[in-house]
Amino acid sequence: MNLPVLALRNTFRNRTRAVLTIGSVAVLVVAFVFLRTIISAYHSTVDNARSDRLVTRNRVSLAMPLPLADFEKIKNVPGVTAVTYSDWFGGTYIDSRHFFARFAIDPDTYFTVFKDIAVKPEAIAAFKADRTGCLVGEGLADKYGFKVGDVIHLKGDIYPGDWAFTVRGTFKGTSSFQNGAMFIQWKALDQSLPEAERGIVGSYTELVKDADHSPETAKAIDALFASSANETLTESEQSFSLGFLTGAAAIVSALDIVSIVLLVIMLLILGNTLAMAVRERIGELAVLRTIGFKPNKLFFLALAEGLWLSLIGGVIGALAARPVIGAFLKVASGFLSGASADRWTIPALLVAVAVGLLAAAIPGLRASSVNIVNALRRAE
Amino acid sequence: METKPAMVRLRDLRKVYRRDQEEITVLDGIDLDIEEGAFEALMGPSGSGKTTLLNLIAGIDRPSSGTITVAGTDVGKKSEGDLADWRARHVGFIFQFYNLLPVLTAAENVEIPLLLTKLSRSERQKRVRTALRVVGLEERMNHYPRQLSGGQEQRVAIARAFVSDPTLLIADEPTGDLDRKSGDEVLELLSTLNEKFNKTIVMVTHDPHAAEKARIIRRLEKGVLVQA
Repeated sequence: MNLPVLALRNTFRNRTRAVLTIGSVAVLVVAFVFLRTIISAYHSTVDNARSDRLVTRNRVSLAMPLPLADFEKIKNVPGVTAVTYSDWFGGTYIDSRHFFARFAIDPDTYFTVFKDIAVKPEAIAAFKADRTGCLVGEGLADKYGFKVGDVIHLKGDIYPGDWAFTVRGTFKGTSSFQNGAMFIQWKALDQSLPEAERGIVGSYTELVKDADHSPETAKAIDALFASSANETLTESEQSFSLGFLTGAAAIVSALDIVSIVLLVIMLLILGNTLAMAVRERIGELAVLRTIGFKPNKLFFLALAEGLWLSLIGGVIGALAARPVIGAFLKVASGFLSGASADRWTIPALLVAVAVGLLAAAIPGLRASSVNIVNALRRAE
Repeated sequence: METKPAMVRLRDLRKVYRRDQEEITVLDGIDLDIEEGAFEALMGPSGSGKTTLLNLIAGIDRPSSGTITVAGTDVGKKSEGDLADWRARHVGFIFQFYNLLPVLTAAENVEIPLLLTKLSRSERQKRVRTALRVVGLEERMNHYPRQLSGGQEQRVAIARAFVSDPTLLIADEPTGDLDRKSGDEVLELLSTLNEKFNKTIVMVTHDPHAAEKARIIRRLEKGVLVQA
């Protein structure tokens, strides 16, 4: 027998209370991991935007296209080292609940500009060689079990028709949004269109030589197309991503606050349980003091009890978080489509333990400052 | 006749409680010597200051004035932390209501004071077994307090009190919650600890039958020792 064991036995003295408290901690840990996963997915999309990349779109709206003819002009703007283009393909996979990003890209230039996307050269080669091929993000592949050779059927909306794309490889992006995306060949899409509709792209992305001078480069690009039929708006990749996720920003900020509130609720639940435990055991604490236990040992006993409650609840919550949140993410879309709860389970467990120790501090101080004579008198 | 050295020496001991504006003198100028190896009973009516005197000797309360010397140590001058260490080494406390921890077995309850020592786990278990053997409960060592009778619980509490081999055993109404038979067993046990193991015992009791087991009976009335 030792003090941690004594604390563990005390933790389960009132089993109903212990189980309810541990259950509350577990549920709060799952909720905390859930919220942090959403927040992380959002931030990974926005924060991983590089400062040396610019995005050029139609000044009127993102929904309005730009001519492919702009490509050569943008490429020659001083400060631009590489440029690529892409188009939002849209479409429906199975039904509208199975939403994920689908872009038509130019494989010859795309991975030069997006050099932070990890993709094997042989996958790019296989993709290029197959006009109906596609590349899928690792998150998307995990979610639907896509593997090389599988055929993905899409119902077109922007580009009507029944489309079938063969998976030629996977890639690992820097954000959950990228990891949940699918790339098809722009050229193949373009050639499938009537002659009059060909030669348009959704946006251009430029890699600039000097990130510090990217505002000047953006101005130079837009100046090229000023007073043209398709005026452009060039902005940093981060501004572009924020604009893309504009509806989510306010919600994500609210979730940030709610995740902190969850920790406060956890603190109050644990603090209440521990305060009750100490109050009920004042007589026993006085007996321990009589035997010769110093105040710091009684403080330690209360802390250990807080630790046990939060650790057990935290472990259960962390173990439950993966399947519970995973089930949600399987049907999630947008920037959540490639998200994973794994990153937050261990931090959430550590946070729960820290909250448990913090919650035990005040009951611990009360335990350590027990007046032996008064407490013994009350106990009798 | 040879006089043994005083294990406990109290000089002009006073304890005053303050309630609102009123001062209540619980002990008033106590002078007392308790010899090493003595078995003394403190008797007196409720509110006479018996338990307060016991608490002061045990170092769990502090006097308003006067000195308390136990085994040559001035208890009143010790800091809170030093006093806790001193109690762990020198005092074994037996309570009226046993005060065992319900989540621990008999053996684990007896082991508690030994957690404050540097003894190894096996040494602690050896001592626990010996203490439980002395109180006749070795075969009940894995029982929880709820599985023991009142008398057995008090015997476990006595084992807990002497397992760390303290200088002094303090017993506050040790038979107060027991029937006559169990009470007699407990008193017999205290006598054995006193006679065979030379433990100095100071016991507070209301029960004249219990007090008879002691070799000296002292009476307190209104905070003053009136008879020895």
